[in-house]
Amino acid sequence: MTEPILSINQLYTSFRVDGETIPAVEGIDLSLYPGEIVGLVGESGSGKSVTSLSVMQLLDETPGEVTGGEVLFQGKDLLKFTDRQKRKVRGNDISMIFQEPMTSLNPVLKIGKQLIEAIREHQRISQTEARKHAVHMLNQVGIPRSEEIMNEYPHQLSGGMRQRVMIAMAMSCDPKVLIADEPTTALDVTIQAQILDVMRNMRKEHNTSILFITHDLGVIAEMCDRVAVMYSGRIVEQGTVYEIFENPKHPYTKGLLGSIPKLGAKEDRLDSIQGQVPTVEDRPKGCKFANRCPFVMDHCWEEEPPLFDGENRCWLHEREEA
Amino acid sequence: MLKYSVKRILGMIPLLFVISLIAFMFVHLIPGDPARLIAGTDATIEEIENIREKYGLNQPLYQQYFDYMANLFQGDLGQSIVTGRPVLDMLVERFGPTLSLTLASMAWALIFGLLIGVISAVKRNKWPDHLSMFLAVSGVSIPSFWLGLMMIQLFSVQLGWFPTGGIGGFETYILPSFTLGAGVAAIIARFTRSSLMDVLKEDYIRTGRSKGLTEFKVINRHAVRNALIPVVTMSGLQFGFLLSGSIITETIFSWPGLGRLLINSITARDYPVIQSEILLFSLEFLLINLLVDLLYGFLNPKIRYEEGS
Ligand SMILES: Nc1ncnc2c1ncn2[C@@H]1O[C@H](COP(=O)(O)OP(=O)(O)O)[C@@H](O)[C@H]1O
Ligand code: SF4
Ligand SMILES: [Mg+2]
Repeated sequence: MTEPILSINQLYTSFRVDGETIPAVEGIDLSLYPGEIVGLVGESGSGKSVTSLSVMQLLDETPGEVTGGEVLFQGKDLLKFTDRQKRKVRGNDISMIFQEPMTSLNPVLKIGKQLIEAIREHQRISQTEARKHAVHMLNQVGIPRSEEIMNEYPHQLSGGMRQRVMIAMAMSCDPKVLIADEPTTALDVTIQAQILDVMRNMRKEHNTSILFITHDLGVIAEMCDRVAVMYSGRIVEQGTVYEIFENPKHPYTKGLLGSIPKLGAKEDRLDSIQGQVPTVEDRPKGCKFANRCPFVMDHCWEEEPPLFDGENRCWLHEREEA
Repeated sequence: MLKYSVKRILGMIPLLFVISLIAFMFVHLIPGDPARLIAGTDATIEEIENIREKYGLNQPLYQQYFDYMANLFQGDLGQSIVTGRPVLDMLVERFGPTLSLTLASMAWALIFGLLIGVISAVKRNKWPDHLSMFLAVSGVSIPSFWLGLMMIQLFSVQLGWFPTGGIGGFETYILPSFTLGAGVAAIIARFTRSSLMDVLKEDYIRTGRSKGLTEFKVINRHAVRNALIPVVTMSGLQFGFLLSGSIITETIFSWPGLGRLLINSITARDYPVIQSEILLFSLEFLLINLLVDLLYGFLNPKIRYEEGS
């Protein structure tokens, strides 16, 4: 079997707010193989963005800090890199696109300038060559009039076009890994489908591994090879898309699947699971899902289940095995 | 852009008209009689009447205003009651020193204000930030007369490096422009800091970092220009204030500018001079506002393009 390109091992990240430590990610294991699209799904607040920022090492400007574990990229631990080494990875080996295309581009700089900057940061090529490459990237993500767009400002483009620009920028140095944090959440459905298309094409052309973060299982089914379901800073279940959709084991996953919008229905919120995501202080001592789980047992409140077989964090699964 | 500017300038005319009326009324509300002041304490009633006659002060107010406006339209600002000289000449003479002092002060203020503001935003809550903000608070709260006198005491009297006052070569500008610029620098620094701190929270800053840019490039290319947009407006306003001439600083440093002219003409109830100065200050403010708006459009492409279409 091939080696994973990125592997997150026992990652812990917490935030210090007003002298208190808030654990946002608690012991995540996740691997990404070359050319693979892995979905990371979970309700808002489960720690998906924090996971991605931890991998990108972009927590410096927040009160957050990685407190344990390792993030191996091609076998080397990014967490041990110097600032300079980290910058060489960012945008070059691992790129990222974000949820808000409207605000993720600098409003006072032309599109071309922002693309060329990303290219020349990592490649020793002339301004003219970088410009040519930028136009090429814009064409690749399906932007019409790419030459003209180079001289336009972000506010002159629609949200979908801006997200295409973000993808072009992220892919411009041909990264091994692309992290996409809810890249289509802010877009309407038709645009969403187009952006997903662009990303699938990118994977095909560049053999890029994609960590695709979303709260929308419908998108996961369309995009991903494997899925990891996240809850309260943990991965509670993972497997291939087929396994998860055909035979979900964890009650939380079942709940999420139950709340996939039916064809034609407009509702896309994950609200069929009863109750709320508990705040950090209110998290149950044992299984973090205990207060919302329809199958909760006494034991669940007492002890947190481990990740059985590395794929399912629920005591019910242990009984099946027995 | 040119069309826009011309439109704005034409729009100023009615505004200046209203201002001239207000200035006229305001000036004539100042208690005291200029004729008596000029004539001196032992003047006869006849002498005072003569002076009134000469400057039209015996006319009804509306008549005085109409005469004033009629002359104004011919480019005649009238004559000073005190010196008898044309007001226009006096303003032109005083404008130069105030303008050059303002430019020198703004240069200090912008260099120090922006630098300190950026450093403290980048190093927020660390010692450079605390030091900068201590300086900024001092700059705002130290009265300029005190700062000016202290600087004269130290650098002119004790060390003898700079003259105590008067206008001349480069060295005469140092102390007064620093005195005047310190407060503005402090305001710009605080404004820049808070603006930059807001910008640093923006998504596109994170995008810049995710490209692998150094922190210097992130701040220099992506943050500062966005942060400057609101700072420009505020600096323009400060520039306008300085351009009216600082009464205190010009007095302390015997600077022959508009501020001292204003205080002198108010003391002497020199109506034509006061009126014209108020009108000049208003015009300055309006023009600076226009300049700020143009600069704003230059910094913010969104505004620029909306104007263009
Ligand atoms: N900048 C921050 N400051 C403090 N706490 C944060 C910050 N960002 C995230 N967190 C904490 O991390 C948790 C997970 O957030 P996040 O990863 O953004 O969730 P999501 O799965 O919706 O992307 C939040 O509930 C919050 O407690
Ligand atoms: S461990 Fe218990 S509470 Fe947690 S998901 Fe399984 S059954 Fe539900
Ligand atoms: Mg998120």
